[in-house]
Amino acid sequence: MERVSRRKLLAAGSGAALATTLVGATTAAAQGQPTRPPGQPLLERIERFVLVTNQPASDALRQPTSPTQAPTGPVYFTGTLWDDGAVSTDGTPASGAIQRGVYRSFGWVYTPGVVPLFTAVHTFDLFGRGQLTAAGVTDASKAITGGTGEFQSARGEVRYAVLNSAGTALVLEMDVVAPNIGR
Amino acid sequence: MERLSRRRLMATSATATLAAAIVGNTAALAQPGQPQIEKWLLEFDFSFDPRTLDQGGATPPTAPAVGPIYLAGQIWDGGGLNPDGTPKSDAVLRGTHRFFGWLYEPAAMTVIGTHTFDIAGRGKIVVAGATDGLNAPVAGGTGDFKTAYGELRVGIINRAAAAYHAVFDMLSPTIGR
Repeated sequence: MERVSRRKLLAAGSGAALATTLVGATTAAAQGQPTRPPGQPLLERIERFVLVTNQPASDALRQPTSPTQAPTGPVYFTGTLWDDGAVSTDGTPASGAIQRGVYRSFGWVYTPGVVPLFTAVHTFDLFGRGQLTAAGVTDASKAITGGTGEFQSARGEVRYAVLNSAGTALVLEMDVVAPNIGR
Repeated sequence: MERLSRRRLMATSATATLAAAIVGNTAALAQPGQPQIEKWLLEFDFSFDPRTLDQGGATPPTAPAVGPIYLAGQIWDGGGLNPDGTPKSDAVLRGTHRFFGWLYEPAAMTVIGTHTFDIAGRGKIVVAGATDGLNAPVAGGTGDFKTAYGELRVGIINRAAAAYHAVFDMLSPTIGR
């Protein structure tokens, strides 16, 4: 079986509507609900979403030096989650795109900018599925700390890549590991 | 096989760069090539850099006060810091750590919040909770520590210099593989 590397997944095109991948299992499900070979637990699942930040609804304790730059200090960010490929690079959802959830985080920016470096607690509320929580320094990845519903025993990491220079859209790759994931 | 107690492991030499221990798993040890890591201890020293102190105010704080707080510093191999909190000449720098949360007892520097230990080239370990008891749960991680959970126990090397010794006591069926 081909093992899917992280680099390959991150380098893959953004056209896939939902990249759900089983790693280390004998069968990979390319779309829809992941299938599990009989008798083998689902060990790891990777899903991609696009996060479109809602800058007017986000907030910071300090005044930013410009409207698009997050200042240092306590911050609150929020945004919406969409299927990978359903959002253009300027952050505009395509017609017919379905919103998959809501993103919120509370944290502390230590390096300000359009795409700031910060440490935070994040929640990804996926409609009808549950909430995934992550925490820590947010550079290229952040640690999954738990969840509810489908993600109640989740561990793993969330990786991200910036989709545009304004930092208003990001591709998220949720690498979820759990003994009972998807059950 | 001799069972190793936590206390004994904590008491082992602080110069060990990586304390990986298998506890109470005789069957796993007997299997060549496939050791089952059930318990994993990592030791580091870390210190806070007071220049990074930020409490969200309009001007930089002169001393820690009750309220929101951000602090960062460096991580060294266990045993890398002197009793006064300065790094030894042969100390090996392992990464950066950053904390944000709420300082509720400035004299003891007890805080509640999220602490990220970024081990260069390996990944991050995230600890969340309050520090009254000098320990807190490992909430998760990235990279090598993607499946991590367990606890962090902290010893004080030098409180005035904000220098500490950390033992990450982590459990996972897949960790480190």
